[in-house]
Amino acid sequence: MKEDLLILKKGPNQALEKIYTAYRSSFLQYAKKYGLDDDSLIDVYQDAFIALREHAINGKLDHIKSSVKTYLFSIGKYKIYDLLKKQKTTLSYENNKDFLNSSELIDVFEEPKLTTEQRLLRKHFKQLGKRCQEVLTLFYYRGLTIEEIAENQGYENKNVVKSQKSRCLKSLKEFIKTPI
Amino acid sequence: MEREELIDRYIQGMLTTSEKEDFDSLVATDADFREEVEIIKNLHLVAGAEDRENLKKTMAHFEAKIADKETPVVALFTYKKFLIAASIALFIGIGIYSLLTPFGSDTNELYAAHFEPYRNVVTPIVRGENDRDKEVIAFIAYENKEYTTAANQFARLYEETQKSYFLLYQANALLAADKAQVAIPILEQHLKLNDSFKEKSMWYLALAHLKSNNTNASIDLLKELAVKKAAFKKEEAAVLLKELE
Repeated sequence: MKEDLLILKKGPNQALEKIYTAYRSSFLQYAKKYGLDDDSLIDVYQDAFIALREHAINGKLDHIKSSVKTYLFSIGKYKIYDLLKKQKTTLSYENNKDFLNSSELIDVFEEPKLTTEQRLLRKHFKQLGKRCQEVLTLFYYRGLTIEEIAENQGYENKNVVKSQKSRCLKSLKEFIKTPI
Repeated sequence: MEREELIDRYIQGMLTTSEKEDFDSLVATDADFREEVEIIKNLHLVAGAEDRENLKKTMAHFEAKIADKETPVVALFTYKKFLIAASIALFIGIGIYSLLTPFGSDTNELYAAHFEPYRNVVTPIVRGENDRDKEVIAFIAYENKEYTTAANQFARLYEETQKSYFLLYQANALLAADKAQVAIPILEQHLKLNDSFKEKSMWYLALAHLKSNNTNASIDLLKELAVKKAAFKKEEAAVLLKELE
């Protein structure tokens, strides 16, 4: 569980395969009773998984009492409820009760709307090399320290990471200054 | 302290009192510095959006791997149960029908009572075998009752592979799509090829003629089937024959 949380927070996306697959089949099994097809359920599961990782990165999972799996399922359940409401499906009494009972505050994740300026920055960000995007993401988004990046990404030492990060920021600023 | 590090410590909320003073005075006096702070703040959001986008791609990749491992076979068991139930219903139906209408019968109704598309015995639907993908796609359409699509796909498959059984399935799909007239020449073509599905074609050709009101042609074929040893639908052919004569 501690290990799962660490991978969610700081691991590369590919490292999430084990967690993703481990909870996937039990989620599909569990969510079957709501009468949605498998494709919709996989969409729901993926949305919930993104939310889970987002909350892990923001530190919201650091002090939860339930397991990561329970947390993931409650986001998923909320999303199913939302979907059924949108489809105007009438819920059975049992299922409705089921949703109402889970009165715990569920923090789902909504993709933030980017401003024009941010969208432009995103475009420039994508112009950077993969290695640059990685370092900047790990530092500015995931919140890894320079030391952690050096260790996880196999840099020689933290000074290499530091200068790499500065160089990447410089390129990014240059892209911003160069009119398209 | 370098400007970059100062901004990083500000973002992380780690500025000491004296660093905070430096930071504030730079913000107040230096437009470039303000801009840099803005970029870094936005970078958090932008890198997050990109990271989630990548995660979506990665998850799609996980799904592809899962689909490769699973080879979901269409539930043949339920299908068989359905067939058994359907044939029992059919025999009871025919029994009642012949009691109620002892004299003559409407060929259309007879056709409807006896026609059931021939089941897929050729290509069990298993995902992940690329060489047979087209075949699988056609049979999925067939089993999902998308008969017009299936008929077109079987026709193309026959052209490409010259496997005779595709003609039988094409004809069945056409019959199911209410196009008996178009099915007749295809069934006749299949009969000429004389493969192991020949008796099936005889039965369906008999039904196609029945549907097109060629009762005599239908009777001839049924007679032929009824005398064959252990032929496909032999008993049903005999029943139908009785009703027609």
